[in-house]
Amino acid sequence: MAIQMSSELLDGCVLAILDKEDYYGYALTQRVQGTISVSESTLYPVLRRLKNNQYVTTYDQPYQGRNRRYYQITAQGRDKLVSIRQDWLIFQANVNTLLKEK
Amino acid sequence: MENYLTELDQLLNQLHHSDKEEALNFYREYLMDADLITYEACVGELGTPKQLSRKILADYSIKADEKSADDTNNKNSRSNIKLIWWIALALLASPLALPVFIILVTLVAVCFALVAALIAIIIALGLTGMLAAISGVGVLLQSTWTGLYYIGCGLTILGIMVAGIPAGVALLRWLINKTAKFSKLIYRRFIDKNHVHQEDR
Repeated sequence: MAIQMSSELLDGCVLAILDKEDYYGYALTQRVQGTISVSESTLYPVLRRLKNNQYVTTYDQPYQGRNRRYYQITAQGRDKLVSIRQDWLIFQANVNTLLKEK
Repeated sequence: MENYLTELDQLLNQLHHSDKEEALNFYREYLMDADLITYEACVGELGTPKQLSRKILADYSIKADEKSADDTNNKNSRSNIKLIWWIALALLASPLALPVFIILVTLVAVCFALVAALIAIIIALGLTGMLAAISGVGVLLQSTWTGLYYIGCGLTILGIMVAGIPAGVALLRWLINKTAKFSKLIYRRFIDKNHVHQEDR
């Protein structure tokens, strides 16, 4: 499919996933790839951007003698998610209007 | 896996230590969770260390550039050239973006030709001016007025050249700046999102 995903939408998708529960990098990548096809190296820049904007925080949890870094949504992240959802609804409706025009 | 990460480590040397560690930790954890033990398996998942490092670095260059744009409007031409370079490499690493890469290269080539032409004009002006002034001095003894005329012409041309240098430098800066902005746009369009298609199923 030739339709491209904008980075804003990808941010929204990741925030929506993290809104349900905390994820570590690999599991999050798997989760996103389960629905949309993204390359394995796409999520790192996204998570970095979200963290820099303080939409997510990270914490480490020991796992089999090493650490796993978990990503957790912040209050700011939830606000951002709400605004992305609103923007998307408007955008979606507008595109639908044009696509369904005959 | 360790070989893969060591190679990536070396390729990310231009990053700040903390940024590099963060990226390496992320991918170390990722590869362990994915159970990828051999070097080949890592390449199959994330691409060669070089391809991965280009993606990471291109992302950082753009971030750094945005930050510096916030601080000051006067962008450093050298970092712009570096930015264009990294984006070109990132485009090369992604086979889908090859046509875009060709456009970018053409654009850079055109800029380069313009700059070369500008430098040639400045050198030509300088030479003509000097020749006219020198021959003016030569003729001065035979015919004072003709000599003075040539010296005057020569000095005028030299003056135009000197005045033209800052203008040329400004034009060059502007060109680099625009090309950097354009490559950023291309990067956003094609690399950032190219790997994110919605599935057909």
